[in-house]
Amino acid sequence: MVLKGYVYANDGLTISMKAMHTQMAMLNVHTDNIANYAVPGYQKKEPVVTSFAEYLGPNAVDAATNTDIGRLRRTGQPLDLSLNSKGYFQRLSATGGIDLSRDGRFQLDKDGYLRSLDGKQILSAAGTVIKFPFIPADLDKSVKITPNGEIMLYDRKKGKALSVGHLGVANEQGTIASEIDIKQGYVEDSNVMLQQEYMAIMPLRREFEANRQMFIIQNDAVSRMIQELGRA
Amino acid sequence: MLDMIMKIAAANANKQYESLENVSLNVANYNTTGYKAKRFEQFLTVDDRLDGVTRIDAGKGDLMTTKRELDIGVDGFGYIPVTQPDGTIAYTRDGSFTLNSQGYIVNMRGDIVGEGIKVPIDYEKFQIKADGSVLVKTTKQADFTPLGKINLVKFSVPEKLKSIGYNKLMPTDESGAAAPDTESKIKQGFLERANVKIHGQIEQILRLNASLISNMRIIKFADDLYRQSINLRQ
Repeated sequence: MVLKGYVYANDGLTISMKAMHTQMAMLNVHTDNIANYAVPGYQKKEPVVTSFAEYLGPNAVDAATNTDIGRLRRTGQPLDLSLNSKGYFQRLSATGGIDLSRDGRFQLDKDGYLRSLDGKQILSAAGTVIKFPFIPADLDKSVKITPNGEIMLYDRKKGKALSVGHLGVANEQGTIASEIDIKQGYVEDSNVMLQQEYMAIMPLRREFEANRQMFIIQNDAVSRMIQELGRA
Repeated sequence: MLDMIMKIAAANANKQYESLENVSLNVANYNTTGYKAKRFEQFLTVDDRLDGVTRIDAGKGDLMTTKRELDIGVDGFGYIPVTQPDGTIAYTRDGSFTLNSQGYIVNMRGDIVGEGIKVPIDYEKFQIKADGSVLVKTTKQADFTPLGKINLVKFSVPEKLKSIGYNKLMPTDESGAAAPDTESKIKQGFLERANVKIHGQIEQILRLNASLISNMRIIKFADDLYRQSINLRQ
């Protein structure tokens, strides 16, 4: 007589394993948020799990950006700008492309170009780089930026203000946003709330433990079955 | 995946320590004449890595009266040139000066102010005017005679000046070259206090502390997951 058959327990073990990986991927998103808590203009990401997660594993985790406006903090620096509306400042990246950021901490270089902290040139609504005709010594008194993004520079010698350009604020689709509210002398803190992150992490930890427990139970069952079969 | 989490959290904790370094520098130099506050700014690079840059707040500090005739404060954004022993010129906002054995006006490190202004040993009255000219009268009846001039200079981007210690700064490519400054005024008998906003420093400490603690917690958390994954058999 020939006995034929096999122990089918592979699926459950794989699903538990994939679930644990999924929870780690979700934790990764929260880690990013916590790490960037102190970065002005950072927008927090929320892990989203798509369907068929039991087969896709960590690939089913996607990070959705939360576009809520962070708290505005006063710095009093004339070139610290913050967006009190949705949208992004446009910057010219090193490769010539345009990248978007809500980080409005700008600086002037010695040629009068308006640049971000990492040296990218800031673009105007017309898509050109913003350049100051001269650099005033007292930036805090000479540079005024209106809520709709127009940069006014006071020329002391001529006794009049001139417009340097219009800050270009783009919305998520990459088109110019129409309703914008720029505040000068403020930076926008990240919209991460630490307590929320930890509250989101707590269930993740328990879910991880639950899946680990499931894996152990199934593993025990399989090993016991193999032992029993061997004895018979 | 877990080691990524740990790396991110550890890198961020390091950045917070860097930030703390700048805060403690600011607090330590709260009473340093002419000190410019440092700001540590964190930002994300293109590949979403956290980076930080130290900026200098080149804004004016409050002028404090000392009534000492060799103390000068700069009202404006100008810098005082000083000639160092090796002949190079550095710039400072610290106007706490004295006379050396030859009678030259020098700073606390012995660097000669301007191009060298020699003050006679016994004088009746000593005056530094708003435009920087140094005048002296030797007797009560005599008129003021000019000795020289402290020519203030300015820079296009003063926050890019490089600090070389002892309150002295050197121009860099990014700061632009020194240009004569005619707008700033010199005030005799005043010193410029540090422009550190002490309450802002406290706020910054609270923020970086929160960030540091939460990153440490994440490391602990990832460590727990590691342990549980390793002990998956029981």
